[in-house]
Amino acid sequence: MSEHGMGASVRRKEDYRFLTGNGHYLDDMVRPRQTFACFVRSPHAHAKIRGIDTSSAASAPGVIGIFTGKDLEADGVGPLICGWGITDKNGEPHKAPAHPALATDEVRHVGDQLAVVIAETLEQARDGAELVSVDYEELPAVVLPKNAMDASSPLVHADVPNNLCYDWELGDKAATEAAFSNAAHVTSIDIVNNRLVPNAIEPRAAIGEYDAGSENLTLYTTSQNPHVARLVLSAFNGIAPEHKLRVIAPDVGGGFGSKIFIYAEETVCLWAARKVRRPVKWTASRSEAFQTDAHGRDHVTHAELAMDADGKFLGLRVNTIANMGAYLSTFATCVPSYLYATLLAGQYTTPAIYCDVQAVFTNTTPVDALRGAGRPEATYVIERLVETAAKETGVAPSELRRRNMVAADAYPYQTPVIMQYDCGNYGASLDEAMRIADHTGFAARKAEAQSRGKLRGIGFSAYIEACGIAPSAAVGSLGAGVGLWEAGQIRFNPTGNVTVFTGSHSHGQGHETTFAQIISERLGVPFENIDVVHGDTDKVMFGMGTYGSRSAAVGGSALVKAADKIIEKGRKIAAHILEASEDDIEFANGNFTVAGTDKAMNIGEVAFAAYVPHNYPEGLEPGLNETAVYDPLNFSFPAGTHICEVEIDPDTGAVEIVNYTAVDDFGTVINPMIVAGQVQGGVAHGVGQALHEGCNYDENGQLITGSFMDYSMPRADNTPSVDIGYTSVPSPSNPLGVKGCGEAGAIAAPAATINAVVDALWDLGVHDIAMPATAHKIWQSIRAAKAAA
Amino acid sequence: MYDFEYQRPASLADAITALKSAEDGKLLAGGHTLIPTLKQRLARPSDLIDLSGIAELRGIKSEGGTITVGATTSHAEVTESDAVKSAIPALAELAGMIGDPQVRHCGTIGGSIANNDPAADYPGALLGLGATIVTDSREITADDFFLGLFETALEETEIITAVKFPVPQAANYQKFAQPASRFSLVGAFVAKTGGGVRVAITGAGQEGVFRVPEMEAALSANFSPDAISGITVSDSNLNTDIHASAEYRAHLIGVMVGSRGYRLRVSLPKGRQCASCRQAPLPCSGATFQRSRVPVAGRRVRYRITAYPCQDSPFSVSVRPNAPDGPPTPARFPGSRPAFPQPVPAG
Repeated sequence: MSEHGMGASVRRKEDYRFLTGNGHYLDDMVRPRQTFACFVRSPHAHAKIRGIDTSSAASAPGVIGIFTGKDLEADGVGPLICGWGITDKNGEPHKAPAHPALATDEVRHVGDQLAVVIAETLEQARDGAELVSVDYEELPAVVLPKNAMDASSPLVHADVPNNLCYDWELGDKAATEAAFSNAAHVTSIDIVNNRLVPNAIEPRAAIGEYDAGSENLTLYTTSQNPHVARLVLSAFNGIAPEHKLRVIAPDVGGGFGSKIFIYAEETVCLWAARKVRRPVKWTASRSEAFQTDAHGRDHVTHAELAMDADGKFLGLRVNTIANMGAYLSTFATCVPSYLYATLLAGQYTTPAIYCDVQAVFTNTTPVDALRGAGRPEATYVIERLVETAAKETGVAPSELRRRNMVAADAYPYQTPVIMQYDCGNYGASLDEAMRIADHTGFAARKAEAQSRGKLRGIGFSAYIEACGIAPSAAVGSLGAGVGLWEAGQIRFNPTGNVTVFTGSHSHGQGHETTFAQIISERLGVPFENIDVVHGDTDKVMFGMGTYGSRSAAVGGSALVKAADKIIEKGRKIAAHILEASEDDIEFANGNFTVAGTDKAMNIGEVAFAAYVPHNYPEGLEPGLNETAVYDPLNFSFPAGTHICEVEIDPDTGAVEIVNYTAVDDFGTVINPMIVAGQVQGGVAHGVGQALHEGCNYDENGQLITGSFMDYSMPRADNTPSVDIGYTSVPSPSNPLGVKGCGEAGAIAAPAATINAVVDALWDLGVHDIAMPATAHKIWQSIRAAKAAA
Repeated sequence: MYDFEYQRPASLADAITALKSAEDGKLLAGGHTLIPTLKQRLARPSDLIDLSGIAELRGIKSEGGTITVGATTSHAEVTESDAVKSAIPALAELAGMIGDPQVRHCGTIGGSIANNDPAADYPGALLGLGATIVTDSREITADDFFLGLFETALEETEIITAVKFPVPQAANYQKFAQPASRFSLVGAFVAKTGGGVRVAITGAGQEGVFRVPEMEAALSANFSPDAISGITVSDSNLNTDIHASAEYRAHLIGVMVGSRGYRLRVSLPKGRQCASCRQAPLPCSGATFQRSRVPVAGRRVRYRITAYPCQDSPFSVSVRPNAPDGPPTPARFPGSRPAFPQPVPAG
């Protein structure tokens, strides 16, 4: 292993600029003659707009323009779209109610935007927005997903009966019913997967800019996928043709999924730039972020597991109501369907699985993909069920899991819910996690804790996820509106250094480092001579962006393909100059060598020869610059076991995570330091969901947790220091053997943590607890159990 | 933020004049409530009168059994003050639990108590210690000062200049933090004074900080956690919100006032192993900790952390609070079991 190659914990190239304040985030940007936008937002969860009076705002100092949804309509700007079509149980497409960028007739959640004021300064834009007078007729609101389909509930959209977006199913219902009729034991649970607010450090922001000379539009935006944004803004919103629109996503301060989507504000800023013929800038306040960034999770689920007398799983039956919020966000429909139910087999050989999902509208912020997107919800269902089943049947939780795991020699393994697992060794991860967590010493630790008056519990989460998203044909057959390949380009400069272009986007993941490691390893170019460029549609060929732990598996593989092409071309050049047959040229460590001789050329010399082709193969194009596109063969399937150990103070209900072990199979690891950071961050996210975070609305649809004063983000002292281990089985589905690591912690940790909390409380009679399991909630559960005993 | 006139007087007299002549003037101290309120356009004062230029309002004095803290003294100054740490360590600790380091370096004691946020920490200390609030025109006892939610006995144009704390025989503040904001969900300040024990509760009450006479009577008779074990606090005037029911707050009052055990999370020097179970690094999973204050030369205070490993072979390490290069200062965290007040060492 070289110092900067695959497997080396190379320090991140990008951190120097981030840590010294030299990053280029959106709000740092100042465009000449820029103006500022402020959006007028609904204070009501649901109301009819009877009128919008902009007259006094129009004459306010500094106001340049005020626009409403009618202006967008007049310009032919299309509504916001949802890019994944779901076909329901009856063969009908999902209900897709109109989602105007600026609401025209009704507002449907607190924060729904209905006008924009553009002014010389931000304060003037705010002053103007305050002067816009909106005549609302308040309407009743529906807030909770479990109530959405009630006949008595108000309709979020008049054209969507029962607020039902779709009623969808997956799996063999009859076979599953049969499995349950033969079961020796059935475990059932009712769980709520709590709604989360993504809360990236950098809020969403945008600058739209119009060049009157070229008629080109540029959108600077906080996007995880600038090309997809350009495609949607062109093809669906009709703002400009693709070749006249450039989207730039510079340094972006975290996304967690929330910056995949094409939102109203960015769309409006871009369109308005042409209206006012000046750059239009908007940066979300944290309050706006709470109200308008697509939220995550929000499922209500009833699940049942059928087992035979030996504890073998026979069938799994799951019903989920998934909250879509007030409108469909860009990929909302696929999250509680194809990203969720297809993972319900987990690590187990359950032969019959049936899941049905009702996706419903409510008067709340739209819900879409958030770190893990569907897979945390699936893992939570399975791992809470398995843990509860183990408790009910008296089988050790690790043993029950081991009895049902897909065997290490059973791959490829076809699940009953579409996915075909390509490789894995789940038992190895479980064993290693139990070793690191000193599982055998737990009983003694529990007894010792008891002597101090503390309740100690241990919980497992044996998770699996589908990453490396995704084979285009596969997702196309499931309703995706796009292909999910990735593009990469390796451009040698004449002096031998390299610029790498990738269609994926780094917003904290460290691609500038890991992709340079891949190229350094493959082409033998010094790490410091490689620059990675991403996030600009004018620089990088069309690519699909970063989400679903796909960048290394798909984007990295595209670069491997491009590197292979570079080597092939370099071999031709070297063969010519070294006066040898092409077949005799070997390539290793950056040198083309004539086999069996000391005649060699460095790849830098080859690059120079390619750009100054004085002595060059006839018929070969000058230059050393190769592009490749990679469409994966399959998803990748990271998996592993996390073990959480907690202590609870029964006097206060406070939980302390005393040990946390994560053993993951991410396949090949490119940079262990970055991977460990992703694991640690993912676990913090997952522990946050389990113990701290919960987005709450009151019964009128007002957002109660609208700031950090009430929305409890995990902080350093809430976050366990994770003991990390790996059991790596390289993925056969891509040339790097990587699987993806960005979401695993957020997927595994909620179930591990809640299982540990419930384990600590089980003997008191507490058999379930809703997330977030705050001290208050635990204290109440203990009290209720004692009262019932 | 709406426009306002900004003034930065250099003397108290000028500040009073400015406040009286402003149409709707607001005093700016640390600004940690006022500035966010302005940014959200929830207030529209005509003038902001910044008190940071008035030297006489800032600083800590110790004389005659009284600690006097100037109104614009920051929380960081209180928590780091040797005078406060040696006389009323509980007050120094309380100041160190407010917000985060940035907040503690801006926020001031005068600003905090004038705002009288029901979940703020300082009102607990003032009422618990029986402090006196000094203004430009009079002195007000803490018992008379805090009137209700965000409401105090201050007149419109009255300016707090200092707070005088009588030094107690023993005092302790225990805080159970609201998980999101880290304000107090329930904060209990217990002080043993010459006139008896005072117990003040912040964070829990619908009308802000309040005293608990039953607990005070019981602890005055017997200054031990056992004394309050049978006392329950009524939840009828306590807050209920998404973070805690009134019932839970009532229960936590008893836990915060009366707990005897104290567990600290400490980082001990690497390479040492537990003397009994040989587990390394320390602390081993069986360890428990006790902390005692140790006065040392130069009026510095050290804390002695005594770790009791699995069995009975205690060892000690000395920890100086906030030492830049010493072992880390023990951290408190929500849910830590509170200590019962310990007597202040003589001298």
